[in-house]
Order: sequence, then structure tokens, then C-alpha cells
Amino acid sequence: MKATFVGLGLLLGLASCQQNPVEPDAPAVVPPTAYNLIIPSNFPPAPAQPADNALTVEGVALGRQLFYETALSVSSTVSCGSCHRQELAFTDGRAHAVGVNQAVSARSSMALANLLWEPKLTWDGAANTLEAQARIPIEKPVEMHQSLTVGVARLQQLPLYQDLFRKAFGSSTITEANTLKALAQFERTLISSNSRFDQFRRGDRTALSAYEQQGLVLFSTHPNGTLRGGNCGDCHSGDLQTNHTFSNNGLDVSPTDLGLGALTGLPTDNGKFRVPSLRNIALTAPYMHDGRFTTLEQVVDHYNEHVALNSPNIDPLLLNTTNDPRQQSFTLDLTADEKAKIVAFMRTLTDSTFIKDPRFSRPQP
Amino acid sequence: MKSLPAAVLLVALPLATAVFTGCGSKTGDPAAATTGSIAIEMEPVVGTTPLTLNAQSYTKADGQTFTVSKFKFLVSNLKLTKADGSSYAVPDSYYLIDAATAGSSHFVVDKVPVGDYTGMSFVLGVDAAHNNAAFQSGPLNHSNDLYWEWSQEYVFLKMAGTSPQASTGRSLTFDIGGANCARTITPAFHGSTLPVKDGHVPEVHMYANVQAMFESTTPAKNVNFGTTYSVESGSTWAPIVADNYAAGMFTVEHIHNN
Repeated sequence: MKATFVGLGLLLGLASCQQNPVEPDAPAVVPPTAYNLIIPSNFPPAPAQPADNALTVEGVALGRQLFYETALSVSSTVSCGSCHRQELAFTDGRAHAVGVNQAVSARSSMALANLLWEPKLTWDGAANTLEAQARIPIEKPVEMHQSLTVGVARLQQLPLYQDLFRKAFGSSTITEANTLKALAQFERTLISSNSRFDQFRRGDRTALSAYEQQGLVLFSTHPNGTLRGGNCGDCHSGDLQTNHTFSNNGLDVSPTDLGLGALTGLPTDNGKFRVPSLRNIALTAPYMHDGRFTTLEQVVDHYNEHVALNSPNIDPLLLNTTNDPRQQSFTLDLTADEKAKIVAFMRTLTDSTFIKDPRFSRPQP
Repeated sequence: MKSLPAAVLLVALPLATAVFTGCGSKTGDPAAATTGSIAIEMEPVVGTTPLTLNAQSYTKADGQTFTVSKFKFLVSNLKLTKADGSSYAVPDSYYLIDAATAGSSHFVVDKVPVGDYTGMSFVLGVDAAHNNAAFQSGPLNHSNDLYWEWSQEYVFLKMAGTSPQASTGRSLTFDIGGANCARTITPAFHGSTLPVKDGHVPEVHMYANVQAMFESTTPAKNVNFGTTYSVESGSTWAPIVADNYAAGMFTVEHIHNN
């Protein structure tokens, strides 16, 4: 039977060749292969993704190539991967990102992991999809500073991309939309789920030491005068380590960067920034949207005793939360030992598999 | 102003789609007409005014004022009742309503047996059987900002905001949960019926009034922001606030016989 089908297929193939002669420079288009994205068992189900950009093996491979492609920058020196380095959980180790011609951004590069679950991208939520987000750094003057129209024209001159786009999207004519789609596809595959915290959450009770487990309890507990805790988990909640909201965490009495407020124009949004996931946080220093804290200890000190309580639109939880048994103090009042345990827990969020995963690394030429 | 047309489109398109599918695909086959669909809207309001997050100040009956930056809650165990006392319990009915998420206050329930329903009830919160259960998907997913990791139970309702009458330097944070806070709520239909039939999607439009959390016909249950501004797990005020919202938060504004 099998032979018959093969024979039939050959015949059909021949027949179609004869009826529709194909140009030698445009081989017949093979539909791309669906990409099998594995959702970790301890994660929420994947939210719906853009219907016109389903993940394919070829689309993800193209996106990976584009992620590391310097031709998308005006000076051919900067790619997405310049500020999002895999070994640093896709950050750059800098307080402020550096783009073409040493231009300096106002904000710090964000870590990339589990973006599939993020309803809003960038520090101020400027993009609702990864497709829309991908254009921002390419065109922004302090980042890659090249219109995507020009970028696409440059890619079109490179034979590698004609082939990759044809495989991914069925046409070797490169478009802006398909460039953004491919980048988004690659970014959706960046799933970090093998930290010791994940192993613990999936049932391996030995994955965290007793000390780290005490840190986890403190991290997630909202103190009430009886229970003690850092109240970190009210925002950095669940397995994704974020509640996906925007919050003013009391960095400044008068924020110079208005964050969400600069985007929406609403005074009640001033000083609010996206609550970032803390995954791989030990690798992504320095911290906050402007990289002002160099260590996790400084971050915990901020929440414990340095919150600017009169900052506009400060998160209400920061005003009401304390370990003072009488619930009177205006600071968190963790002990040095408790702070150290919380930091120890945060270090268990490092996923050493993720930062070495060859599927995410710079493709070899 | 620039974004206004886009916003109008966003609202208009799903509406248009709903109208077309409602007329086009649902009518017809009388043989299959043993079940129908209903829609429920639990519109966040203060008093009878649609809730505006952050930017709007509201006034309680005692004159204290407040703003709302967060208002979200879990609804479960939806049940519809008929005049003869019979009822239909909607299986696996869990809903998350979040004032910050457009569209979350509106949901559709399919496969409801046809008939005229004269009342409904639901639990504000999560039933005991599911409250401490292992990971649940959808509205009960632990990553929805409504789960206490340390006690492994759901927060049924979260409200956050500000009030100038709160103790100096404090905000409003009400996180209501725990077994002693689950409340069954039975909003009155006031003589209206909810006619479930093939080809139609009648809608129960309810108000979910934030202010009701803080007010009661029992004076001792009224919330004074000066002293009660932070209500968390274990607080004696948590079940009182739950009593308040059970008594007054939900009212049926009208039933559209779509």
C-alpha cells in the first residue's frame, strides 16, 4: 500500500510540475511546521496569542536569527541580543541600556522570560503584544535607531533571509509585519521554568534548603501583626513572579521618570512601572527601571526602610504593611536575618538551564 | 482624544459581532431547544455610578471619601432558580471580575436548561471544596493576584485605594478571604424573569457596588477608615466586610430579554 501511495504521489508531483512550471528561483513553498511549545506543569495555561501568528519551527528559527541581527540597527553594531544577553537572563548588566553610537537609554534593559504570559510589555506597558513591542527598540533613536522599512530593505539584500522568510512565511519578499512576527515567535519560546524554585513547586521538597524555604514563606507572607513577612508576593505572585500590574513602589518623592503616567497622560499613573517578574533576578542586576540598586540586599533594604511614603500614587500596600506587632510602624521592620532569608530565596529563582539553552543562543554562522 | 475612535471601535466591533452571531447562528432548530445561554454583567459601580479607578473620589454615607485603585473578586457556584423552587446549578462556574480588565465583568453561561428563571444565587469567593485544592486553571489559577501562598487559600475580594480620612499616612487595603468569609449572595429579581430559550441570550445586568463593603444597616458594622483601613487575613473585620458586601453589594439593575 505504502509503495502505491508513494508512486501516486510521484505521479501527482510530476503532473503538477508539468501543468504549473515553477520558476527556478522560487522553489515550491512547503508549509511551515507547527512549533510544539511545552508549557511547564506549574505554570498557568498559556493565554491566547495572536491568531495570525501561530508558532512554527521555521518562524521561531527566523526570529532567533533576527534577534541577533545587527543589520536592524543603523550602525550595524547593535542587535536585540546586545542588550538582552542570554548569560544574564537576557539583560545587559547595566543601569541604563546603551544603543547605537553609545546612546544611553533612560531605563534599564528588561529581562526576557515567560513573556508569553505578559499582557503588557516594556516598563510602561507601551505595547500589548510582542509583535508591537519588537518595533520599539528597533526604531528608537537611543536603541537601534533605524526605521524598520530600512531594516527590511537591508534584510532583503541578504540571501540568508530570503530563504528563511520563505520557509517561515511562504514568501521571500521580506515585510515589516513578518519581521515583527518572527521576533515575537522567538520571544514566546523563551520560557524559564527550571529554577530550584520551579523544582520545589513541582514537588521536589529537597530543591530548596530549609533556610531558603523560610525565605520563601517570608517572601510570600503579608504580615498582620502575628504572621511575619516581607509581603513581596502580593505583587511578585505565583509561579510567574508577577501580578502583571503597574505600581509605584516608592522610589522617589518626586519621580523624574513618570513611567505609566508619561504614556497615559494621567496624573494618577505617575511613578507607576510594570511589576517585573523576579525570575533569574540574581542575574539581572542592577535593579529597578533605572538600575539604581546594584544588589538584592539594597532592594530589600529599600522595601524595608527606605520607601518614599509620600511618593504620588504609591502602592497602597506599601503604606499599610508592617511587621510591627502593634501594626503602628510605617516601615516593614524585617530583621537582618529575615532580610537575608528573603535574598537567599530570590537566588533560587535562577534558571541555569535557561541561560545556556542552545535554542536561545546566538545562531552560529 | 486621539485614541477615542479606536476605543469606540473596540467596543463597537464585539457588539456588532455579538448581534450578528446572535441573530445568525443561534436561531433555528427547535428540536435542539432544550438549553439556551444567558449573559451576566456584574458592573463595578460606586452607588449607581460606573467605577472609575484612581481618578475619581467617592463619598460614603458618613461623609468619608475614598478612591479605588483596585477592585476584583471571585464568583463561584452560580445557581438559577425557578418559581416552583427547582434550580439549575451551573457546573464549574468560576468567574474573576477585575475592574482593571475591560470585559471581565461580563460573562456568558451556555447550556442552561430552557425555562423562566425567577432568581439566582452565587458564592462571592470559592467554595470550601476548591479553596485549598491543588492548582486550578482559569479564574482559579494561582497567578491571578487572588491567592495567598502562605495559607494556600484564595483571596475572595481585593479592594485598594486611598482616603483622606484613613489614619495619617495610611491607604485602604482590603484583602478579604478565608473560609469564614465565603458568602452566598441572592440578588432579588424584583418580579422580573430570566427567560432562557433557544436563539436568545437574555442578560442579567447587576451592579457590584464597592461602597457596600463599608456600610451596613447595623451601625457597628460600618467601616470607619480612620481606624479600619487595612483588613487582611485573620482580621476580625474581614468577616464583617464580607457580611456587608453579601448584604448590599449586588443588585439586579435590569434583565434584558435579548
